[in-house]
Amino acid sequence: MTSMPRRTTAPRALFGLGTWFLVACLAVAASPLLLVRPISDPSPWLHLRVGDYLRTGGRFGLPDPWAPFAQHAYEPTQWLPSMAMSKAVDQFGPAALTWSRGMGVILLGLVLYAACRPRANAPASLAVTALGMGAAWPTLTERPQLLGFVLLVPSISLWQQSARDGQVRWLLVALTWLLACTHGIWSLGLAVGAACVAGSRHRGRARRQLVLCWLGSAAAAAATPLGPRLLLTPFAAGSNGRQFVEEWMPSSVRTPNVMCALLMAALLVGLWLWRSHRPAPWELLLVLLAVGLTLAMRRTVPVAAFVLAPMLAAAGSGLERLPAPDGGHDSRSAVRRELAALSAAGLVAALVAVPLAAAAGRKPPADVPSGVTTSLRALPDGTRIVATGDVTGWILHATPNLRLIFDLRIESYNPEHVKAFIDAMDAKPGWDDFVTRTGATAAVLLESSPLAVALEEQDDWRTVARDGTYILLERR
Amino acid sequence: MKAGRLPGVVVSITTLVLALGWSLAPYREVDTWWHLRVGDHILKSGQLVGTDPWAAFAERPYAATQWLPEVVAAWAVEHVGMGALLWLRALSVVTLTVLVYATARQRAGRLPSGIAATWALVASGAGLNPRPQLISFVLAALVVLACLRTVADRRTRWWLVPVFWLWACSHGLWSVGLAVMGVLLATAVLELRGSEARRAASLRFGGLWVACLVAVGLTPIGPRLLLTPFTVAGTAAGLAEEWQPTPVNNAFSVAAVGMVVVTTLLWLSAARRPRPWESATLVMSLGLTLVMWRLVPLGAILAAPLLAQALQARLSGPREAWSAGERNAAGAAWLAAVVVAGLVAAGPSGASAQRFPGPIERVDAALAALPRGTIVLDDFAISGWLLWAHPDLVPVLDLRAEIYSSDLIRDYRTMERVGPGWRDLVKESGATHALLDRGSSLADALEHRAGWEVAATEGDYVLLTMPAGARG
Repeated sequence: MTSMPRRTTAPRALFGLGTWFLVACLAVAASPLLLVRPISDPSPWLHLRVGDYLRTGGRFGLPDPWAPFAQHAYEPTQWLPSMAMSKAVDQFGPAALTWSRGMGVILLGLVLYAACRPRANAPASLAVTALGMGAAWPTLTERPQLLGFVLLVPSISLWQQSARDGQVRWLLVALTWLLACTHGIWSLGLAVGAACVAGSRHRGRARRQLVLCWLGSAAAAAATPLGPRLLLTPFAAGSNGRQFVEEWMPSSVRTPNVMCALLMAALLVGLWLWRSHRPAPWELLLVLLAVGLTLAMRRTVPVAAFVLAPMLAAAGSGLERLPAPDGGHDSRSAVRRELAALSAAGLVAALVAVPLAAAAGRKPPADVPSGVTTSLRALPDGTRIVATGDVTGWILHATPNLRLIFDLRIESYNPEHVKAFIDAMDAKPGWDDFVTRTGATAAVLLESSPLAVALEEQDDWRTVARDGTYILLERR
Repeated sequence: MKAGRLPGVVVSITTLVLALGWSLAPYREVDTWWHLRVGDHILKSGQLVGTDPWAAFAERPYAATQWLPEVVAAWAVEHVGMGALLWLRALSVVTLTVLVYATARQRAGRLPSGIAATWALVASGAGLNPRPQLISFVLAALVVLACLRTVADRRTRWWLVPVFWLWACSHGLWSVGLAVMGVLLATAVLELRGSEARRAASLRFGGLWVACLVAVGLTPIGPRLLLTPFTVAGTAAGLAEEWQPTPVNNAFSVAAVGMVVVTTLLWLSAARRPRPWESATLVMSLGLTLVMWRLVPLGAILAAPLLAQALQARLSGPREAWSAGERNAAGAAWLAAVVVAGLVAAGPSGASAQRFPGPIERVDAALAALPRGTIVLDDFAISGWLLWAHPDLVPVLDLRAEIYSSDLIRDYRTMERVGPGWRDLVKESGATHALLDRGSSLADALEHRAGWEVAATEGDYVLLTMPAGARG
């Protein structure tokens, strides 16, 4: 009796790609149905205003052009996406913002998969990409940070590849420059680079070249139009942020995205221990960095996931011992076919997103009091206004003729002013002095906020307009 | 003594000295006061469960789940003075340290055990104040010691049943202790070879676990105690900071996370596959450390033997045996530390060690002058002191959040932040006086917007009085 030959390879559906992979491509193509939404983050309005200002030749300095109580010159560290988005919104309306957010999320998924795939099989790469996106999810909003993530992921991947094979990748210098024009997250890219260079086992010429590449990247960050002072901005924003801004505060392990990042770290360490794999020093340094980024600050949780993803995918595939950067089970051409298929699916998604974004752009943005715009615009030019921190970006954008007592650019203010503002919002002792001293004669506040309640109790303040949970108060 | 042994001995002694020093230092603990008040009430009435006589706004009867240490502390304070609290604290902290050291010594020499115990002491530091929770940490260390010995020798330690009974009479973290014990005993079963051996061990260990659970249900509180962790967690989580997830931005939580991280790095550098109990203990340690601020000491207690063992593997010399001589020496050192603590606590520093609520004599005197039954709108943190110092007054809310309705807690929070309707809520509470943090929104609003008068102010607090004309 002759036996039938056994199939030794997985079934291939189309263009040599597995059925499940084509399903993943379809999911990417259809993802705009879930991803495109009305603008739901308060920050993009500030960036649009910054972009408008820079495009019309405006430059920041002291005194600040918009805020009478700003004591430090604002550094527009996110100038490139701010200006690009300002131009796009001029051309296409708010739909451009909703479309680009959806595309940003898809692009991030693709670059994360591309970062994992060279040293991992497709299922592991897909699973790790899903975990990474889960860890990043709450931060994937309509902000320049999203583009920063898209640029940071390949940067992290390239640093890891260089640490592994000792081959310098000069593309990192250009990538760091672009990242430094996009978002303050460039500093974390350099931190990853420092860990990779310091922990690389390569010596001699290879090591010298890695060090040169890192120094070149740092120099590139100092060579943006903002100049070398950009190198100091992470510290300037950080000191105020850690005291007063929620997303700069330590993470809570009870939030799902933090759980995702910790799970990635635990899986990676668990797999290494299970396989008795002794990691290289740079891998240990990166795991330590990732754990620190996960726990230290809510806003750096996604970066931790991006750092862990390529290593976890490799460990999940059992390939961490292979020497070559492209030495997975699958050939280079198979990987290229997959990435091409995913890119094609991304292009389809970009088209699918157009009508969806047009519809979402026509809806009123969430979490901003757009219903009081007319009343705000009726206020005299230069009116000083105190507003809930989250809506200050929108006020800057919608009514540039007003002067805010405090706004989202927290690094522009002294800590004393920020604390006095926060205390006043809580109606703590001295709130009335703060309002009087700053000369505020209008306020946009949540109706349930202590300051709104306090002002409403005053004879010389009255509510002139409402929108949802917000009210506009004016001094008589 | 051989020169090679000296570092281990020095570190071990230093650990105990640190523990003693830490436990005799001044402290600020808001909860101590109401535990003393409850203990005093139990001593006088013998009542553990029932309608609370001082909480007029409570919705549910109060169950004194921590009655044993409360009674002991109240009795000791009544007969010896406040110094007794400091001594009880020192007794607990020194015992905890010795137990953690002894657990580490089962698997490591003196030097790594001393390092791990010191590290655990630092990580636990924020939780080592005189309140019943401290008993939980001591008993947790004892349970971990017993379970890790069971993992090694597979013996069933039935004496854990009265330990859990004692724990259930002392504090609510017995539930975490049972969970930890269950996981450790399960890993002990997993490590056995042969289905018959596993089945027999499962029966024995399962029986032990169930017996401990039954013991928890047999305290004077009765089986209702089994449900209290859920009740308390549901109400306290929103009000008490220590029930929130651990922020890794302070020395204590960083030290606790550091124990887990260093242990993991040592495992990775040795490329050694950990045994099931080691993996399970490490995961539990990290989970407890991060999930809730008050559980950080439990995370450190669990991590200590793993860290000691991992450090031991990096040392070149052999591990010293945990001999009868060393056990006796540890016992003698423990006894000496307890005696020294007694001498210190009996002095003036014992009476003044509690620094909360600070110097507020004028406020205290003004409160003492109020008629019996006066309703006081109180700051949450100082409510325990108010219960203890002025038992005739009626607080609107106190630290025992589990006896109040969620509606009252919501209204209280609205008043506290001076949210919409705060004036009506203050009026509905019937409070004619308010004892508040002088920097709070509510104190400012009552004084400057509602016209309440300052009766007394000192330190961080102010006592406000509703103007006579506003009283109905």
